[in-house]
Amino acid sequence: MTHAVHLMPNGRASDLRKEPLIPSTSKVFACPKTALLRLAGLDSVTSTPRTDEL
Amino acid sequence: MSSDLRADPGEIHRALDLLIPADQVTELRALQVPEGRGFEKTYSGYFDDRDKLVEEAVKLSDRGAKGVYVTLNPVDPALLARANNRAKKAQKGSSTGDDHIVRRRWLAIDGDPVRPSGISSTDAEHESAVTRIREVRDYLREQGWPEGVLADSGNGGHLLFRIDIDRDDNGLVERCLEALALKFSDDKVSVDTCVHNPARIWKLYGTVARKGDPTPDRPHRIARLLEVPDVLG
Repeated sequence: MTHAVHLMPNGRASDLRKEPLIPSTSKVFACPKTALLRLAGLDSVTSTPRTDEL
Repeated sequence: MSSDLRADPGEIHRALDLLIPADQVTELRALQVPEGRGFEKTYSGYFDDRDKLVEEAVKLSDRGAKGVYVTLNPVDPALLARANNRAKKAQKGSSTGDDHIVRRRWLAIDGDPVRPSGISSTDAEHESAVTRIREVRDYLREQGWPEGVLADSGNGGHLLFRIDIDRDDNGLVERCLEALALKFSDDKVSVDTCVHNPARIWKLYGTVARKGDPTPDRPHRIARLLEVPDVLG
């Protein structure tokens, strides 16, 4: 798997893989919520209001 | 008119073992099960017995159900009392509601070929949708996401990521799907943004997807797991 490093708008390097994975059932590991927030554009650094929120 | 494809109990067991903890209560729902004289019914039941779940899924799929589905997220165990480890004809309002889900455990992404409703995909459409969902997987991998489960819905592609978030997520899952749809949907393949609700039912791999009548160009297919990462296996 590629080791992804993201440069955030504030210049801070963010590495999702360094975030703790949440152990859930048996051998399965959960995707960090921060990854979901980032994809959704809801993380504190990159969040952009939706049109209907403007 | 139906196909003579049969469900694959081994694949159903494999899928359930991967996706759903053995002690989790899960709704099984089979849509449009032929009842004779042209009638069709939906069947539904709640299961915490893996073998009985597989047995009912095989039976309903082989009776010609248009599709056999399960709830991926854990269901309030009280619903077992609706139909305890058996499937029965569903009554109005008897399906699992969003407020019956305990927690969100899967982010489910569905890439479906754009085509008229109610028909199976062509082989070319099917392949393009699976290819597109691989592209979604590759993109998320580049973003640092963990490995997902890649699957064939029978008509398109599925991608599943294990998550562990509250049922009431303030639209987080919906917005994730919207973001992916914005990037990956086009006039050939659509990333479905409607599958965000926690009680969403999901195709049970190992059962037959029967949308419309099968034709040489638009065959029925068995839904299957395609790629299961080692970390999940």
